[in-house]
Amino acid sequence: MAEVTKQRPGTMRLVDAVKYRLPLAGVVSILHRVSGLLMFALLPFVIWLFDNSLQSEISYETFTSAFLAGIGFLPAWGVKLVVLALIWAFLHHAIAGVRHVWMDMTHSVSLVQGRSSAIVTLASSAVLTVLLGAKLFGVY
Amino acid sequence: MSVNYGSKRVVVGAGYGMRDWLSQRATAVLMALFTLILLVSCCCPARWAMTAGRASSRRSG
Repeated sequence: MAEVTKQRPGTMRLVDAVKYRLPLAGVVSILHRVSGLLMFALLPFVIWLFDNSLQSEISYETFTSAFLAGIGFLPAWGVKLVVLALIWAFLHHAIAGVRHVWMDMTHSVSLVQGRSSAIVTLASSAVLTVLLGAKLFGVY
Repeated sequence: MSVNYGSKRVVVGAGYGMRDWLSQRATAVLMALFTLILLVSCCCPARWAMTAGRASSRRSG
Protein backbone atom coordinates (compact mmCIF):
# COMPACT_ATOMS: atom_id res chain seq x y z
CA MET A 1 0.00 0.00 0.00
CA ALA A 2 2.79 2.38 0.93
CA GLU A 3 4.58 1.53 -2.33
CA VAL A 4 1.45 2.28 -4.35
CA THR A 5 0.92 5.57 -2.56
CA LYS A 6 4.49 6.61 -3.31
CA GLN A 7 4.08 5.90 -7.02
CA ARG A 8 0.98 8.05 -7.42
CA PRO A 9 1.81 11.12 -9.46
CA GLY A 10 -0.05 13.63 -7.30
CA THR A 11 -1.27 16.96 -8.58
CA MET A 12 -0.21 17.87 -12.07
CA ARG A 13 2.11 20.83 -12.21
CA LEU A 14 2.95 22.95 -15.23
CA VAL A 15 6.25 21.08 -15.71
CA ASP A 16 4.27 17.83 -15.96
CA ALA A 17 1.68 19.34 -18.27
CA VAL A 18 4.23 20.53 -20.84
CA LYS A 19 5.53 16.96 -21.23
CA TYR A 20 2.36 16.03 -23.13
CA ARG A 21 2.54 16.41 -26.89
CA LEU A 22 -0.56 18.34 -27.87
CA PRO A 23 -2.52 17.58 -31.06
CA LEU A 24 -2.58 20.49 -33.54
CA ALA A 25 -6.05 21.52 -32.39
CA GLY A 26 -4.60 21.68 -28.88
CA VAL A 27 -1.72 23.84 -30.09
CA VAL A 28 -4.23 26.24 -31.67
CA SER A 29 -6.21 26.25 -28.44
CA ILE A 30 -3.28 27.03 -26.15
CA LEU A 31 -2.00 29.69 -28.57
CA HIS A 32 -5.50 31.19 -28.57
CA ARG A 33 -5.06 31.74 -24.84
CA VAL A 34 -1.47 32.94 -25.18
CA SER A 35 -2.41 35.43 -27.91
CA GLY A 36 -5.38 36.70 -25.91
CA LEU A 37 -3.23 37.19 -22.83
CA LEU A 38 -0.54 38.94 -24.87
CA MET A 39 -3.01 41.39 -26.41
CA PHE A 40 -4.57 42.07 -23.02
CA ALA A 41 -1.16 42.66 -21.42
CA LEU A 42 -0.14 45.02 -24.23
CA LEU A 43 -3.44 46.94 -24.18
CA PRO A 44 -1.83 50.01 -22.50
CA PHE A 45 0.77 50.12 -25.31
CA VAL A 46 -1.94 49.81 -27.98
CA ILE A 47 -3.99 52.60 -26.39
CA TRP A 48 -0.83 54.75 -26.16
CA LEU A 49 -0.16 54.21 -29.89
CA PHE A 50 -3.81 54.85 -30.82
CA ASP A 51 -3.98 57.98 -28.66
CA ASN A 52 -0.78 59.45 -30.10
CA SER A 53 -1.78 58.61 -33.66
CA LEU A 54 -4.97 60.69 -33.35
CA GLN A 55 -4.57 63.42 -30.73
CA SER A 56 -2.54 66.01 -32.64
CA GLU A 57 0.13 66.43 -35.29
CA ILE A 58 2.75 66.66 -32.54
CA SER A 59 1.57 63.44 -30.91
CA TYR A 60 1.54 61.84 -34.35
CA GLU A 61 5.26 62.68 -34.52
CA THR A 62 5.70 60.76 -31.25
CA PHE A 63 3.81 57.89 -32.81
CA THR A 64 6.00 57.73 -35.92
CA SER A 65 9.24 58.29 -34.00
CA ALA A 66 8.47 55.18 -31.93
CA PHE A 67 8.97 53.19 -35.13
CA LEU A 68 11.91 55.28 -36.37
CA ALA A 69 13.90 56.06 -33.21
CA GLY A 70 12.33 53.82 -30.58
CA ILE A 71 10.78 54.66 -27.21
CA GLY A 72 13.25 55.52 -24.44
CA PHE A 73 15.61 52.58 -23.97
CA LEU A 74 13.64 50.42 -26.43
CA PRO A 75 15.13 50.68 -29.94
CA ALA A 76 12.96 50.98 -33.06
CA TRP A 77 13.41 47.33 -33.98
CA GLY A 78 12.30 46.41 -30.47
CA VAL A 79 9.11 48.44 -30.90
CA LYS A 80 8.55 46.77 -34.27
CA LEU A 81 9.11 43.36 -32.70
CA VAL A 82 6.48 44.08 -30.06
CA VAL A 83 4.07 45.29 -32.76
CA LEU A 84 4.85 42.15 -34.78
CA ALA A 85 3.97 40.05 -31.73
CA LEU A 86 0.70 41.99 -31.52
CA ILE A 87 0.05 41.42 -35.23
CA TRP A 88 0.55 37.68 -34.80
CA ALA A 89 -1.55 37.60 -31.63
CA PHE A 90 -4.41 39.45 -33.32
CA LEU A 91 -4.32 37.30 -36.46
CA HIS A 92 -4.11 34.02 -34.57
CA HIS A 93 -6.79 35.04 -32.09
CA ALA A 94 -9.14 36.27 -34.82
CA ILE A 95 -8.69 33.24 -37.08
CA ALA A 96 -8.95 30.79 -34.19
CA GLY A 97 -12.09 32.64 -33.12
CA VAL A 98 -13.61 32.38 -36.59
CA ARG A 99 -12.72 28.67 -36.47
CA HIS A 100 -14.81 28.37 -33.31
CA VAL A 101 -17.76 30.17 -34.88
CA TRP A 102 -17.46 27.92 -37.93
CA MET A 103 -17.40 24.82 -35.70
CA ASP A 104 -20.52 26.04 -33.88
CA MET A 105 -22.43 26.86 -37.03
CA THR A 106 -21.65 23.69 -38.97
CA HIS A 107 -21.13 21.26 -36.07
CA SER A 108 -17.67 20.50 -37.45
CA VAL A 109 -16.29 18.94 -34.30
CA SER A 110 -14.78 15.67 -35.50
CA LEU A 111 -11.10 14.92 -34.92
CA VAL A 112 -10.32 15.10 -38.65
CA GLN A 113 -12.09 18.45 -39.09
CA GLY A 114 -10.47 19.77 -35.94
CA ARG A 115 -7.04 18.85 -37.23
CA SER A 116 -7.51 20.26 -40.73
CA SER A 117 -9.01 23.51 -39.47
CA ALA A 118 -6.15 23.78 -36.97
CA ILE A 119 -3.66 23.47 -39.83
CA VAL A 120 -5.53 26.18 -41.78
CA THR A 121 -5.54 28.43 -38.70
CA LEU A 122 -1.82 28.01 -37.96
CA ALA A 123 -0.78 28.33 -41.59
CA SER A 124 -2.91 31.36 -42.48
CA SER A 125 -1.97 33.28 -39.33
CA ALA A 126 1.72 32.49 -39.93
CA VAL A 127 1.63 33.54 -43.60
CA LEU A 128 -0.25 36.78 -42.85
CA THR A 129 2.15 37.54 -39.97
CA VAL A 130 5.15 37.08 -42.28
CA LEU A 131 3.55 39.29 -44.98
CA LEU A 132 2.61 42.09 -42.57
CA GLY A 133 5.89 41.69 -40.70
CA ALA A 134 7.81 42.19 -43.95
CA LYS A 135 5.80 45.38 -44.50
CA LEU A 136 6.47 46.49 -40.91
CA PHE A 137 10.22 45.99 -41.23
CA GLY A 138 10.29 47.69 -44.65
CA VAL A 139 11.06 44.71 -46.87
CA TYR A 140 8.57 46.04 -49.43
CA MET B 1 -32.10 13.82 -22.17
CA SER B 2 -30.13 11.03 -23.83
CA VAL B 3 -27.26 9.33 -22.07
CA ASN B 4 -24.13 11.46 -22.27
CA TYR B 5 -21.89 9.81 -19.71
CA GLY B 6 -19.60 6.76 -19.65
CA SER B 7 -18.68 5.66 -23.16
CA LYS B 8 -21.34 8.04 -24.53
CA ARG B 9 -19.61 11.06 -23.00
CA VAL B 10 -19.54 14.07 -25.33
CA VAL B 11 -16.13 15.70 -25.12
CA VAL B 12 -16.74 19.29 -26.14
CA GLY B 13 -14.81 21.11 -23.45
CA ALA B 14 -16.07 23.23 -20.60
CA GLY B 15 -19.64 24.44 -20.57
CA TYR B 16 -20.59 27.71 -18.89
CA GLY B 17 -24.16 27.97 -20.06
CA MET B 18 -25.97 29.59 -22.97
CA ARG B 19 -25.75 33.17 -21.64
CA ASP B 20 -21.94 33.27 -21.35
CA TRP B 21 -21.47 31.43 -24.61
CA LEU B 22 -23.80 33.73 -26.53
CA SER B 23 -22.36 36.96 -25.09
CA GLN B 24 -18.85 35.79 -25.99
CA ARG B 25 -19.87 34.95 -29.56
CA ALA B 26 -21.87 38.16 -30.02
CA THR B 27 -19.01 40.41 -28.88
CA ALA B 28 -16.49 38.37 -30.89
CA VAL B 29 -18.51 38.65 -34.11
CA LEU B 30 -18.91 42.38 -33.43
CA MET B 31 -15.13 42.79 -33.14
CA ALA B 32 -14.55 40.73 -36.28
CA LEU B 33 -17.04 42.87 -38.21
CA PHE B 34 -15.38 46.05 -36.92
CA THR B 35 -12.03 44.74 -38.15
CA LEU B 36 -13.46 43.93 -41.57
CA ILE B 37 -15.04 47.39 -41.94
CA LEU B 38 -11.78 49.00 -40.81
CA LEU B 39 -9.79 46.96 -43.33
CA VAL B 40 -12.18 47.84 -46.15
CA SER B 41 -12.08 51.53 -45.22
CA CYS B 42 -8.28 51.46 -45.18
CA CYS B 43 -7.90 49.46 -48.39
CA CYS B 44 -10.31 51.51 -50.51
CA PRO B 45 -10.25 55.03 -49.05
CA ALA B 46 -11.80 56.48 -52.21
CA ARG B 47 -14.94 54.42 -51.85
CA TRP B 48 -15.00 55.11 -48.13
CA ALA B 49 -14.68 58.87 -48.69
CA MET B 50 -18.03 58.95 -50.47
CA THR B 51 -19.80 57.76 -47.37
CA ALA B 52 -17.56 59.09 -44.62
CA GLY B 53 -16.90 62.56 -46.00
CA ARG B 54 -13.52 64.20 -46.29
CA ALA B 55 -11.87 62.63 -43.25
CA SER B 56 -10.19 59.74 -45.03
CA SER B 57 -9.69 61.45 -48.40
CA ARG B 58 -7.40 63.93 -46.65
CA ARG B 59 -5.29 61.06 -45.33
CA SER B 60 -5.05 59.32 -48.70
CA GLY B 61 -4.28 62.57 -50.56
